[in-house]
Amino acid sequence: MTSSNSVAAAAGNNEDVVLQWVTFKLDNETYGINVMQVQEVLRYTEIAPVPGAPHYVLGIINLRGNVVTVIDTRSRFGLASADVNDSTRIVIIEAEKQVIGILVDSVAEVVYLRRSEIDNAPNVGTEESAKFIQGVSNRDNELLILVDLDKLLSDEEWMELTQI
Amino acid sequence: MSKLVDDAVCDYFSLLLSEPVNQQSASKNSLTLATLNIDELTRKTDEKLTRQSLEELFANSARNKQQPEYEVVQAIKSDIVVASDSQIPSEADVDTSQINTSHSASTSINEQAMIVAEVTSEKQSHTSVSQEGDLVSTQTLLERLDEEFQVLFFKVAGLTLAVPLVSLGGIINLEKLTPLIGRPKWYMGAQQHRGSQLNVVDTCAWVMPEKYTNALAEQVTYQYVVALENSQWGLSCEALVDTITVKKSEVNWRNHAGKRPWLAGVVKKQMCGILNVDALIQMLSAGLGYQDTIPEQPR
Repeated sequence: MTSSNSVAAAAGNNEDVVLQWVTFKLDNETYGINVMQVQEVLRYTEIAPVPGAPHYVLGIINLRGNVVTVIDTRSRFGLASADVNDSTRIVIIEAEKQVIGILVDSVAEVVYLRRSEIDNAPNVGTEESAKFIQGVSNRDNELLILVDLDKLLSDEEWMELTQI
Repeated sequence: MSKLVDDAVCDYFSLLLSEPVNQQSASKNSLTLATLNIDELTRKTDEKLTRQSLEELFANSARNKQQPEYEVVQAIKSDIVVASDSQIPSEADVDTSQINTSHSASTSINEQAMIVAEVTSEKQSHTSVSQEGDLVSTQTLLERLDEEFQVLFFKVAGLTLAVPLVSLGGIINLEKLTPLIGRPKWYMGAQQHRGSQLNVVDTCAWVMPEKYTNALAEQVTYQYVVALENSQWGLSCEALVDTITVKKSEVNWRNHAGKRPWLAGVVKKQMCGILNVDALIQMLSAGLGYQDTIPEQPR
């Protein structure tokens, strides 16, 4: 790992940078988020519900004295809810200058991807969740879906989070 | 020529509506007993299920019918038999398969009738494709095709579609699909192919969404992906039927985009839609549905 997230992939090709992605599982599919936006990964801890919170908010947790809002990622992605188990993790991320937690089924690894290895996702679909995907990449015979965390919530929703 | 097609289509469906039960049997010597039973039951059920819709579709059809083109009728019936046969794993499953097959076949006939009806109603002069208002991509397709060209027939939910081989990117076994969140219902998922992703379309859901019920979806067993040219799109299909050589004159080309820009025309003999792959790729890439129109491009 280098001090920065990206390194020059080859001397002759400065454009083809290598990016690191933290991968997690949701509904048996593998998603990746930019490692620079990940602060830490927590085992599941009790999430305190917040009355009147938006439907995509599971609740809040106390992270070393700081209150962190946890997002229901499955709901946000339009997936059916699932029970919490030993693999369930809360990934603490920073996006849009806010620190939030996202609940995922499990966290797998950190992978390195060249920018050239990332394909665009098909630009179809009008659902809001379609915007979350910034690209896909083939890796170990599996398709890795790369998530744009900044688009996980709309501007209004990010604003709404600050008022919880 | 186009009138003959009208007549042939009309005759086919008229025959379907009025044909006695014991009239067809001649060309099915090679089929198994189980398949014959299914075929007969399928036909009986089809007659019941499709009678009303077909009568509506062809209520205003030409009255001066000629003798039925038995060859066309047999070709289409054979298609249905092939679909039935492929869906029956064993004799033990016959009862269930009969019901499933009947549903699937009747759906396909209705859809096929819709396609044919649209083509026949929209065409005015099927060879004058350079008229104003023509689909640019249809013209492009015609320019790419030789006078004789090959097409691949494939089936989905009993519906047969044709794709010109010049527009065929490849045929791939349907393997693990990765669904992507927020995509339309017809987007099955992405499959890896040659180190890249191939976006697989649920063909039935895209081509005939109004008929794609949960019950039908359960019956459809996709096996292959028909890759479209060099795009990242592929159509799922249940079975590959055949590859044949057809002449341009044997296709009833559409002059106008109409409601289905993706449909280049109808192969007269087989009475199945031939795909305008360029338009289809455009539509899929834009996330359009099967009846949406492609935004006009500056000429």
